[in-house]
Amino acid sequence: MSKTRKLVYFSLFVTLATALGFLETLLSNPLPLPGVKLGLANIVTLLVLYLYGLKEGLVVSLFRVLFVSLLGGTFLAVGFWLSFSGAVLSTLVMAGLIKYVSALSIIGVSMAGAVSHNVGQLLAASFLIQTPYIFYYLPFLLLAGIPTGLVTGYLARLLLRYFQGKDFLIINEK
Amino acid sequence: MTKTDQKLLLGLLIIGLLALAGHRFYFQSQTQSNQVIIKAKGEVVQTLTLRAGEPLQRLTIEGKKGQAIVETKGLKVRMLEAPCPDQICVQQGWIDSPRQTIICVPNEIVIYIDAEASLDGITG
Repeated sequence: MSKTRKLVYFSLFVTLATALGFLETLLSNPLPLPGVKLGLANIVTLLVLYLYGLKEGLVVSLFRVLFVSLLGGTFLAVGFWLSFSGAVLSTLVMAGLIKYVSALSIIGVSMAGAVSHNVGQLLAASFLIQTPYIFYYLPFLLLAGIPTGLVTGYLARLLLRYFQGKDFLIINEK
Repeated sequence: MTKTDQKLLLGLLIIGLLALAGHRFYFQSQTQSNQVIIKAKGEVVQTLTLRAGEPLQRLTIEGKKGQAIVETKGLKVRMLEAPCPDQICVQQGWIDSPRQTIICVPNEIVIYIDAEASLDGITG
């Protein structure tokens, strides 16, 4: 696969993830809790992880966080670091599960990703936001990740089936 | 969903519910007075002691994005108005027990009830 072709595909994935991520900042939150959202952009991260791998997934999710923060004007603000930590942790957890726990389907991986995203955000918040009781939010964030992960997991499964039939997308020619 | 997916779902659900049970125990208690601490951009800007029957009062707090209005009544405190886009802090409503916390991430305002300085119903 040529470098140009790879660049084009990754630009498309980053754009798609950014559009979904930004769309979500415009929607009102389903629950009045910081950090709880559907996580539509995670669909793209999941697809990239399944189609390519960890490195590619990390690149796409980090660029997405960067671009969404630039669009929303939150670059380098507290909210940016929360999203950044959530994205890194969830991408690592999902990639690890895909590699080592093959008995999990994309739905289980998505669920674990959603929960670890919320936990990652809270861990970052415990450093960045000076309050002794940050874990007040923990149970809600844990529980909220389950349904949101299920929904995005089902959506990602539908798309993955479609993409896997298209061999033009395969970049790693091993 | 595979069997393993279902096990993961169940496991996460149990952990979440256990955390919720612990949460009820840790974050809900009766008090005679609540020490409310308000931080903006990482600094403590207001410390208030609330007692039962306290009249309604409103405070203007300068956050990163602009002015927020914090309201207190009796032992309770809430974010009444905030300039943030998501309004999560406003929707959260009243808090009234030690350790409960309202965080406005975009405006960098934190409101919490300090457990050490609040008098609980038994010792108070």
